[in-house]
Amino acid sequence: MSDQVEGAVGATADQVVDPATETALERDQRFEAEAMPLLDQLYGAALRMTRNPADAEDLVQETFAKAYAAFHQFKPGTNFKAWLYRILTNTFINSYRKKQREPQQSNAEDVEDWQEHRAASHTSTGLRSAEAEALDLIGDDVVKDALAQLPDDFRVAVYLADVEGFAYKEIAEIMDTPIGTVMSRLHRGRRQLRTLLADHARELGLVREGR
Amino acid sequence: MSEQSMSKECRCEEALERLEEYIDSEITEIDAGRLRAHLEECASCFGEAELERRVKELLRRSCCETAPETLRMRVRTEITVLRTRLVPPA
Repeated sequence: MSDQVEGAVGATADQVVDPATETALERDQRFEAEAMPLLDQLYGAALRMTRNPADAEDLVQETFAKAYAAFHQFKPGTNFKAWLYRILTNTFINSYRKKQREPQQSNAEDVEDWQEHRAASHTSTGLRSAEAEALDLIGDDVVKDALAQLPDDFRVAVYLADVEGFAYKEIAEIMDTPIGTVMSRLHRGRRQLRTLLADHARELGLVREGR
Repeated sequence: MSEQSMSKECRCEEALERLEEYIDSEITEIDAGRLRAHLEECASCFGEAELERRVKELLRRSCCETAPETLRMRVRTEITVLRTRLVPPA
């Protein structure tokens, strides 16, 4: 495995243990206490990444196995959740993404000047702000389907930011990419998402046809 | 002098460019204050900010999952197997 699983992904104020002096049993217990409560969340992320439950379960199992095996490398006191998500994301990118049968959407980061694009118009993206109320009527499944249509890199960035609440810096470390790329992926992913949600809202007649 | 103070005022272009960073709490308190001041005055940018916020909130509430109990068991079993392999009995 060439996955990088270094422990330095942000810092938290957890109690700090010294891995050098703890017993294998203590370490197992610490892993159990830190990792198992994140199982639901990790499964949710894996489901959004792989887009099907069978692959999501395999991905989560593989992530936990790798994390357990590499847990001695995790620096106590740093951000365990970000560390675990980094393993998850690496595993997804390195194995599951390759084997997925659907034609791979292009993840090429074409050098579109997204800031310029954004500044060009107040209403460049699908939904108009006056129609924001329609969003509350959109069901969970529709949101998940829309998310599933985004290219992998955009989908993962948006998920990590909006569902998991990771900071840009943490997402950059989890996805192993510069912060500028994270921001670009977030912006473009959210814009595509809004377009998809707007289309859906119009189909349902939740908003009026475009003026 | 007056030109300098003008340039410190946040306008639509800057507001829209930095809206996501603002919503994501990724800008300094000073910049956030300038942006907030602009949003209070500009209905159009305010609407855009509200929309960003709602889409973010929509995602957060739509993506809650519970792992199947079988997965929980698979993970525990896997770890037990790894444990015996990785740590030879003392």
